[in-house]
Amino acid sequence: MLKFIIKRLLWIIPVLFGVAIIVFTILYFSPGDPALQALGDNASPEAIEAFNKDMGLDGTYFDRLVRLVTGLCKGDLGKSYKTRTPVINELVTKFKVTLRISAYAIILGIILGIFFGIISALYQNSIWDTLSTGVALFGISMPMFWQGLMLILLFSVILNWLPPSGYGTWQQMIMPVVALGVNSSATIMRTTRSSMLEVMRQDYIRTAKAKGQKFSTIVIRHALHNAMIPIITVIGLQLSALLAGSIVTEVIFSISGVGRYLVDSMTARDYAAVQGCVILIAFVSAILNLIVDIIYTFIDPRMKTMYESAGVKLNPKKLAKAAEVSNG
Amino acid sequence: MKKIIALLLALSMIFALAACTSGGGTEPATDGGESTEGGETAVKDTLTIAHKQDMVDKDPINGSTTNATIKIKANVYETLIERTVPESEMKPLLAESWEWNDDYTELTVHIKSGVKTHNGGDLTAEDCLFSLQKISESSNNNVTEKMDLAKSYAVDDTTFVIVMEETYMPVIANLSYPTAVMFDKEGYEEANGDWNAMDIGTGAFQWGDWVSGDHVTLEKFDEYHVAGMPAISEVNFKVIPEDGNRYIEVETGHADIAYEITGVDIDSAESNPDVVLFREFTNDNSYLSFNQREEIFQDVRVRKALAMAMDLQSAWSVCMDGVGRPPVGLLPDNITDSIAKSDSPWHVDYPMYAYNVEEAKKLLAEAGYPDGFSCRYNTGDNSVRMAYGEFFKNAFEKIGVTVELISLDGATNNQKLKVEHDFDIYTWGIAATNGDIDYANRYFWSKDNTNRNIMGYSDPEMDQLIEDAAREGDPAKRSELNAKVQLKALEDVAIIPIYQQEDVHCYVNGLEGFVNGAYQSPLLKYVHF
Repeated sequence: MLKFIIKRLLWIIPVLFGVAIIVFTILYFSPGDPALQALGDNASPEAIEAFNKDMGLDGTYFDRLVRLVTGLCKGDLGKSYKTRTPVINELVTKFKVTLRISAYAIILGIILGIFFGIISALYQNSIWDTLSTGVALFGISMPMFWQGLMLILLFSVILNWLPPSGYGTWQQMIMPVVALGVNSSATIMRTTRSSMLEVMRQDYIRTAKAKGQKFSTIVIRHALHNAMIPIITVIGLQLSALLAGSIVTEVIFSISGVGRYLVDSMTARDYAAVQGCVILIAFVSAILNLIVDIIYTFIDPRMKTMYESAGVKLNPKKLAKAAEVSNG
Repeated sequence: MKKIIALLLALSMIFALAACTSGGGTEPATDGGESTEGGETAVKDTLTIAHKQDMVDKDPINGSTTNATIKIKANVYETLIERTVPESEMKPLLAESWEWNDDYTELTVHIKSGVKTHNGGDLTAEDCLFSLQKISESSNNNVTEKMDLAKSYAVDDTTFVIVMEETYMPVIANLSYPTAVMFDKEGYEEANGDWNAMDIGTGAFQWGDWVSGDHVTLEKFDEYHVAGMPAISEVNFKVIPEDGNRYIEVETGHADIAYEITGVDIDSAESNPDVVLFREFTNDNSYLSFNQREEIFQDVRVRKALAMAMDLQSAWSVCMDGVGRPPVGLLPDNITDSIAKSDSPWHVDYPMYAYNVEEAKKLLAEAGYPDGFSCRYNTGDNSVRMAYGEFFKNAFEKIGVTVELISLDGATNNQKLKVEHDFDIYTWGIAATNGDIDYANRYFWSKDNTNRNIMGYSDPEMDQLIEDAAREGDPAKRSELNAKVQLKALEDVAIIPIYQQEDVHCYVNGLEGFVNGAYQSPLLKYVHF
């Protein structure tokens, strides 16, 4: 298992370099002059030239690519063209914000999604099922920006209960977390429902019922436990989707996280910051995928053997010896 | 089981309700404000401002000149001269007075004594010359244009002389430009020019906290050189990019001022007794023009025909949500020497070529395009300019000109217009940004290297007029030359102004002293409750 984790972690390195090179190439060929954006309309040609030199925007495609890769090897994401400060400092501050909101949103999504998914499956075709699936459909169909605006209208403008924007206090967290989490909860709820419905029809559930086990034990230990694999997969996918969703949420609620930083940087042609954001998102997505894979092994120990054999070269001598033993 | 489910549902409802209702926690902007102590009402002295964009940097001379950035920096750094808005008068600020020599080649500036910088120094003539030198080495060196700083000198601690390379009258306006700020030489050298590590300005506020993308705070400078100012002890600029949310911040009491509110919120603000609306025309006109490097648009008849196809009044009614107004001249009438002023001896009514579709068709036929032609129109990504684009596309089609609208994002549009010159028709803004009409004249100067002459207009007579106007020391003669520049630009249809822009802000009732400064930057030193 440890070997598997180390191997997956090592694989992240070439993935990140690949992502960096692709992003750099796209930005290199995209129109828009960063110097003109950073210095403004009054900048003289000499000032633009000096800016390009200072920010490493001079030279050919390959010169700049080599500079980027060398910097990455040293853990240097470059300087923001806008603020002229290291991108990494900004990213760390903003990532904490995005991470906190995404974490709360996914916790909310998991709690609501699994709870209503189970209810819906246990009482299939009942009023609870209809209500839950209806709300889930609404949650999936409702665009996140519209949901955010409606929350502001209701809780800030009409009721004046919550601040319309910002980040810091728990009151400011409610609306962004709900806007992000409801969408995820709807997806998780639907997966939980279908997975639970399938499991509840299995023979071992009938056996458990026949043994006279408590209903809650049957549902949680036997049914939910076995229904968790697709749910975990969906939660993993939702985690990556939350990072993308944070772009919209952060803009609407004026939260200074990675999502808004990425949008602002793209508008300002702050390529160093854009590269930094994309590399960070790629890194986080890779780590989240790894965590999901590890969680699989806790849910279903059979998976562990699959990971252990993956990539392990079998020793021919040992195989021969094993064959002798079995024959003998 | 049913009981358990009912219990769980009830718990989740209680949890949701508790999360919402215990929200007393919203923190209105009255914090630190109207608290009562011993029966006396304390006057609120903190200010929260909903600001559209974050400040880009703290560097006042080499840094960003975006409007959002200057709106903050203008309260921390100060210039020698202050331009009042909307009167556009040049008034003393750090300078007490200034005078020219007879041939306008030397400008003697007397600075106020006792001006303190934020790091505790005294602002001296030497500091001022050092500041000008640093500005001349920066990317915003247009404000020190024509100054011979190597020959400029300090007379004493409070007097210095700026020696000019040649007579250049816009220098006074340039000294009021927000990048022509004065600061402490010693502090600059100690911090090795790192603006993030120093606070060496002279403004009414000094730097507080800055969390990029979230907020900027400014703190009162106790030793500010104007007694009794500022009344506000702390200012918090909250970055709220969503247009609608800025007004909501004021409406719900989470901010005292909202900058740049949009047309859709004006009605709400007007009908709200707790909110005061601030409206002021800027010295910017948005205009439409043509790529005059292309043969088709070099023909003035084509430009006139297109001008006559444009109904500017109707366009404004449709596209502007009641903000701004149809243009009153080539330049707004709040610029000194603008011939749009009704009392100007050279005043002409605008538009010079009134809306007349039949006449436009005739002109186009005369120019050799009886069936019209096709062209591209770059609107950029500004929603108002895109709306105008749609309106004029339909208008041009009435005279046979087929238009393809191109709406690129700001950076790409900049590249197409200013670097590649890859466009046919475009919309941009013209302004006397520094307060002197010369700044606007340079939009028609063929030797311009600051991307103002996007349209590629080139006329030796116009170049001469612009240069003569900049050199003319006699105000009456200068006004005449400036009028000639404007008349020529109008006659040649160099550009077609399409609307005048307007600053629209709002603030809570009870706040007083809200005034705009130069560069559309409200001066918070005057604000009080």
